[in-house]
Amino acid sequence: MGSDVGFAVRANRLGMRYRGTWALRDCSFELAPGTVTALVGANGAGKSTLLVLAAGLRRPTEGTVEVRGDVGFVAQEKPLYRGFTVAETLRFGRATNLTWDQDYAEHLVGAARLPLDAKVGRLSGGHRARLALVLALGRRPDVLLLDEPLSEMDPVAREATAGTLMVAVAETGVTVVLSSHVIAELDGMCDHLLLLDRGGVRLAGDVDELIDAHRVVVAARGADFGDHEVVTAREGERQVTALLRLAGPPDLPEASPPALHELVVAYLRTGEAA
Amino acid sequence: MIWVAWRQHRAVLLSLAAYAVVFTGLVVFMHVRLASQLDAEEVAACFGQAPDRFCEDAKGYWDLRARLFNLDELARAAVFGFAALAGAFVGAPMFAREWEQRTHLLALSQSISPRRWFTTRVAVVLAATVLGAALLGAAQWWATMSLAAPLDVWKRLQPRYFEAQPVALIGYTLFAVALGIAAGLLLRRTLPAMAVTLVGVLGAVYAVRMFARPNYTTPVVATIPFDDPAQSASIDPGRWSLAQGFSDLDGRFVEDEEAAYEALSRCEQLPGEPGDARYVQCAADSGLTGTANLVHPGSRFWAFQFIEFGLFALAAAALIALSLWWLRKRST
Repeated sequence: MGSDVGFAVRANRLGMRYRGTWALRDCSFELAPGTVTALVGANGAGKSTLLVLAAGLRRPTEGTVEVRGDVGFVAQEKPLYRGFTVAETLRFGRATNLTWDQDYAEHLVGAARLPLDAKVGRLSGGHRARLALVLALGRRPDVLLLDEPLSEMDPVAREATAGTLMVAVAETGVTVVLSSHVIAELDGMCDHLLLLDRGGVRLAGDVDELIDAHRVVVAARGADFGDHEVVTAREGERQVTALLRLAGPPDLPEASPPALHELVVAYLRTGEAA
Repeated sequence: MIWVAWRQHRAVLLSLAAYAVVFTGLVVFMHVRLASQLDAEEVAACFGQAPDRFCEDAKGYWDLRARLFNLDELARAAVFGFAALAGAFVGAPMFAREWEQRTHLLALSQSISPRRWFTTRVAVVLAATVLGAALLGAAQWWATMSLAAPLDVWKRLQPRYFEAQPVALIGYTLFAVALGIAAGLLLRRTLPAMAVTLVGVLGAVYAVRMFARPNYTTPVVATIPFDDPAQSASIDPGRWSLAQGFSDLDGRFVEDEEAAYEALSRCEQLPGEPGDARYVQCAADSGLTGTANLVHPGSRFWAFQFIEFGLFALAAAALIALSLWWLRKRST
């Protein structure tokens, strides 16, 4: 999709202050429609704050965040009415949304093997997380904001949920933003990355392009990397392992492109050191 | 959305309905039993008598009435209590629990507007609780009007009786639920909101009873002249007496009771009987014409009920508006 399609989510100098401390500050980015973005960052980096603001649940202290179309949101706590049954939860979705695809929601509930007459409070954490996602998907949103959607799930459920999301993206072109601090679980799902560090955007862009713009190099101590920016370097006795952000063509013989999690961890580590 | 509101609150609303039905049943049962103690002849005879000697001969009736006295008091307290309970158990948790359990993030992120989410739920809850208050209040009204308890008609303008009557009770219920909602939204914690609601409702009703209600209209001076004590027979039994004292030569109420008593005790020391011409003259010389009460006549009952309702309904509307404003200020 070209830039003429516009954006699905756009933040402009977005900031949010809670009791004197900035949870988010000077945050600017743009996400294209149909992209799946991994929102990563250390604990307290502002991921949840960003999603809550984008969902329109709080007013930012400064700046703006715009979201085009209908927004589905699943908060980190996966809040649901515990006294409701699964069927009643779906009825809640139908009653509180302008568009609601009951067949789709029932299909998802069936695929997750959630009994319709089970009380939500008796479900496991993983099942509740899946039901919360069903509620967000059932309204067929244009943008789906998910705060740690996979954290309570076992590996099988994660895979199934990831599959559900990918099908939804392929079928309806929904734009997805999902936060996590377990980078491994995002690999293969996301085509874009938005890395927050202490309330600001540290790294943003297409995953493939980002990987292409970085190299991991193992070289002798004191080696000269030219114009390339050293993101992190770990020094051993005789050699140094460095992640470089390329400033020009990759002219380093011993360099290899980083894996997504290497890239993310490297940038998170620079945040810690600073 | 009405289904959502009902589903979220049905447990507590059904509990309150059971409460209303139990105490309505109790009041009806008591007064049917009392009525069965009077036969038609006695009733016919009763109406020939002065109100304060109503059915003096119906001993069985009065015995039973004495035995039911405590239960009757309890029922009346429970009827007023309905409003406070509705505020604390329906109003206060309504939104406080959403924030406590973080489900506001769920509700407010659906496509329904916060305003409609709020107003639909508030409307459903207010309709249901007002229905309960109307039932309980109507039973009290019927009990004071029924043949078996005509004495209570006299008292219904008086504090403790007045608050259980239907129109005022509906006002209190609206106010209590609205106060609970506002406290819950502002405090976002259920227990503190419940406490604030209970204290707030009891405090507001007490303050209005003490300071506002006596001044809804100008009280009148009901005088029993020293020279015509027989007028005491024609006292309005339904009146609400605010103060006792004396009336002066212009028919005004004398508040300075100590000075009045002093003057009258001087008059009493004159030769002759209290109440004879010399005594009346002596009292008149001191500026007093008779004993008097500052009263609201019983005929003002409905006017007072509606003024009380208006006051509390207005406060309820203000609280609902405040809650809605707060909700929109905090979210979008």
